[in-house]
Amino acid sequence: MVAKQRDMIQLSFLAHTRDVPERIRLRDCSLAFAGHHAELSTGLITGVYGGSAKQAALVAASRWTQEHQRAAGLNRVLMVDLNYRVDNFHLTREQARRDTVAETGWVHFDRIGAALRDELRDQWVEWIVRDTGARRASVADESLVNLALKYPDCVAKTFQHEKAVRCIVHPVNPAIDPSIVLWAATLRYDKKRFEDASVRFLPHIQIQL
Amino acid sequence: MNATAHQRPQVDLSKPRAQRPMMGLDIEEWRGEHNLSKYDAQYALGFRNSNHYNKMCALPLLPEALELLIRLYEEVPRERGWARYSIKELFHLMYDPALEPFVGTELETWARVDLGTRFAKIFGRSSARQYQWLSDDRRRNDTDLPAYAVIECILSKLKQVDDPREVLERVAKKVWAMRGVDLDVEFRVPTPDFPPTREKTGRKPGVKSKKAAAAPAPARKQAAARKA
Repeated sequence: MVAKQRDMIQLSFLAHTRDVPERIRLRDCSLAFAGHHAELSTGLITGVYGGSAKQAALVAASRWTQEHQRAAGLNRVLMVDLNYRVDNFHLTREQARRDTVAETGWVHFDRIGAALRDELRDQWVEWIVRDTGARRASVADESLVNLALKYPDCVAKTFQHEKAVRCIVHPVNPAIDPSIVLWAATLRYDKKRFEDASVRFLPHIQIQL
Repeated sequence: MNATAHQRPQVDLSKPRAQRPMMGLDIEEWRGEHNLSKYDAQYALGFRNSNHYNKMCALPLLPEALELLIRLYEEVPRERGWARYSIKELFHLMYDPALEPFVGTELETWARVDLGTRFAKIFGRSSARQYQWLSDDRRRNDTDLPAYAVIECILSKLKQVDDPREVLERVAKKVWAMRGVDLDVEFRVPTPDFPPTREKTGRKPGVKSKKAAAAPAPARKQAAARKA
């Protein structure tokens, strides 16, 4: 397994493969989740973030592999671990504010200051009302994490809107098991920030960044 | 990371786990299937720490005893208890009925050794290990096996089944069959119909050695000449 390095966060990706391939493209391992549209996510990649989310992802991956072990196509889910470098990492331990986001590019929806949270939520409500035709009253009182679960495209739109943001940690219903909620980190794909990428316990497989 | 970590799998991963020997990655998948934390998985499999866990998960082929334990968990998918057999107790439980016909005969020792060899092999150990495990020497502690945490786990797992002999034999046969070894052929249980036999090794009496006798050492030759 990949050891966590200083000033980095550890992420895991799920690679759906046929048996055990020689190499895996990291871009193909982005976590798929409910309500997600690939065309909005160009240049972004989503991985699993945090210990309990990784455990839930492992359980889902094992179950998926068991169910598909006799399938003709993809029949295995491999975990790809990597470290992602975050600027001014120590600031990510604080609640995210405008100034910390400018220095780190990091927003964690469970560790976000009230001002930034409300600002983002208002912006999201505008987008949701405009793009989905939902009634404002039905979404205006929702929390940011609930909106992130129900309208995950808003995460991708935030990247287009907020140039300083490089990583958002948000909850998702993963496609591999839509009944669970995982904390996922969606990042701008910047391979200079990726280190130690490897398939868990199959280090001979090459990872193409 | 050690050299073994980068070895390619020696097993055909396209087959389901039930039809091939296990490799390190299967431990992680097994952990996922049972929703065990890493710590719980370490306890269940008798690993010392997470480093040991990572090391075993990187193996291209699991040791037989470890695979046996994981397959026992698949048979009885619940946490192992505190109670466990001693290794000698389990041997007697498993093989005393097979040994009974030979007790008091000249074949008893051979039968005991053959059964001990089979028993050690089930755990992936050499034949010599039986002498340590099954010795009647009272100075040895026959209940503790500090170096074999994985075997301790198997012994406690077997406490949870009604017929440990049947379960252990069946699972072990499966583990070894997938490695190309038929326990019943190579380490068969002796019966009165097929009693244990021994082939004498070394030179047969009365047969001359094919090798020419060694020439006497020059020093000895000189000493003999001097004496003469």
